[in-house]
Amino acid sequence: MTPGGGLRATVDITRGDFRLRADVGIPPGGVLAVLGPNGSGKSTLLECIAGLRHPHGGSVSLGERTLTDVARGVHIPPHRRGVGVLGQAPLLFPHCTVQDNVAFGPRARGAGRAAARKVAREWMERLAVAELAAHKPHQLSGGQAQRVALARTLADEPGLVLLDEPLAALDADAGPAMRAVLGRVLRDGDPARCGLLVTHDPLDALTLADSVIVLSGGAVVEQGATREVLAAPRTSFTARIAGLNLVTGRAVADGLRTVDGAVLSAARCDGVRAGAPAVAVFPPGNVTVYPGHTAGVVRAGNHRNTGSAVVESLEPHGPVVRLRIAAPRSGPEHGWVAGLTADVATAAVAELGLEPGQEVEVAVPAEAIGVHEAFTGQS
Amino acid sequence: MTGTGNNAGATSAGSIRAGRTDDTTVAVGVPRLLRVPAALALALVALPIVGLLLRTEFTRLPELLSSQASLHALRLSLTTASLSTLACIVLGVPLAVVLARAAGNLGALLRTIVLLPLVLPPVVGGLALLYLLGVNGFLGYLLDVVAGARVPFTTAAVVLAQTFVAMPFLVISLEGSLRARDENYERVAATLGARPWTVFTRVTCPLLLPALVSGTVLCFARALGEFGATITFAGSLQGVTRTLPLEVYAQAESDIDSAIALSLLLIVIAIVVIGVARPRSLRGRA
Repeated sequence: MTPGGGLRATVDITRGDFRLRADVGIPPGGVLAVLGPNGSGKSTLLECIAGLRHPHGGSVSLGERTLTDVARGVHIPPHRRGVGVLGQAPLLFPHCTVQDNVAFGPRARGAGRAAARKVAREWMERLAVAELAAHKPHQLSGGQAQRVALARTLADEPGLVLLDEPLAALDADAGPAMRAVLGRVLRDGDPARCGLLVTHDPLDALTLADSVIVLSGGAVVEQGATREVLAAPRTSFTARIAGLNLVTGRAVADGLRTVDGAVLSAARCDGVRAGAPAVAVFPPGNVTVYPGHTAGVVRAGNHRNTGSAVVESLEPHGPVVRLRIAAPRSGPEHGWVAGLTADVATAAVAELGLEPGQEVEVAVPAEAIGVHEAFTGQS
Repeated sequence: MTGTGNNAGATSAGSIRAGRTDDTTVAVGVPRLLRVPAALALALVALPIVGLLLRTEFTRLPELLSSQASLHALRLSLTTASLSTLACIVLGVPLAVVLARAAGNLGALLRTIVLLPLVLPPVVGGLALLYLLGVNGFLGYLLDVVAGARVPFTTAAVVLAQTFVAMPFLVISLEGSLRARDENYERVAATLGARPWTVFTRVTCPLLLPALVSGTVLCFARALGEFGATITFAGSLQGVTRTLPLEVYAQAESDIDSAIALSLLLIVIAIVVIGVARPRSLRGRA
């Protein structure tokens, strides 16, 4: 509806005991991913930007247009914002055909029947749903319905598209296909449109967004280029969604001293000052698991980063088995191993006879560990 | 169920019930003991009608039904019930939408007021209408003085009485449907650029259609059967205010065969109304 420009939003809102204070910016044509655990305020942020919720403070502007300015009492209603929303559920109007759904936006803004149909056609073709034009929503598969919903959102030519976990409700086949479609339309470099994507999946963030913010407890705890944030997480939430292990402590020369006093040596230290709060990050695939009775042998070997642990749980994870590790019952000296995950080949699990409760020895080679400055709450 | 098909699969617990129900399905939740009171309940509803049918002289039916009084009553009933149903739709749909979105104490108070005619004895409703619109009522007095119009004991009074008692059926049906789903469709429509009026006409109303149909049927049936409020507020004047139920009551004193024939007519109309429009609740599980 309007030539977009970028988004600038500062939102301050309190709901019950929960307070969200976030500051986000998206350049024209850019896509920002918002990651965060449940209840971190992602959806509230989205609703404030879409105009579906009144923040208690702050402002939202899209390009030159001010959409919300609490101090000046400005609150443009949702239908005049030019902000499109696509959620988990496609929410196609059940009484309209696919074509009428896609044409809804242009029609609602006063386009004639023929003109709206023409716009709808274009978008249905771009999203490969043109052959479904005469279908009713209940005749569509989940993936088709979500593609139609995306076509409907984009046919309205919003300056900003808000995507609230658009792949979350799709099955294993439809998800990747929809991700590819989203990638194509979001990354077409149209400077008139920017996008904001709420997701749980680091793959979405990596493939669809150029930058990312991580919300936790109503505050932005990490932000930056997607690749950098996910490769060097500073909070355990980010590490978990990035599928990485994270151990907190303080930086020492060539490594990290954990909270319980163990020292992990690391190959990469990212220029962290010794003594500064830091995190050690390493992928589960680099954690090696040995049977508990071989502890002495393991420690005598080349591995410096070792610890005693017990297996807490096992679950299949693609071609490997992902072990969740707990601290040993005996003592606190290897507390840093608690909560780690380790990927072990299925054959090895059988060979070692791994099962929950079993004592094991874990080792992480220094080459796999990166140490980064930790998020301390003021970044 | 209303239009949320897009969310299908969201609840995994639902899948256990989603299995196709056919004659091989075992009803695990229904104790056999319930069948006895259930049968009694059914008998209580069905047997009186059987009694009426047994007492009917079918050979005299055409003659009884085509009497001047019967035809007048039939025409009057159909006209007034249609008019009051129309009034219920025109006024009740907006009321239901406003009620469904009214929050807090105000909403609760408004809902209580709307439900009043449902629990009030119709005679009391008729009396209340009389003391609002009768010559002694404040609005009736005003109408009489300003416009020279007197409402009680006219056909308009019949329509008013029927609208009064039937409105809650429509409003409850619509409001229930509105409150059963959230406003997500409306919110999506708004983000697509639809003004509130466009959202109402192009999204809310079409989604309300099934509830509107069943609500209208209930509303019409209630209006057709209205007795107490009508006789109090509109009296029983043949051709003007004596609707079918009033005619049945009048005939029951003098010509019982005629009364039975008219009762049968009302039953047939009721069955036709239910059969044609089939409220959602009658369809059972699909």
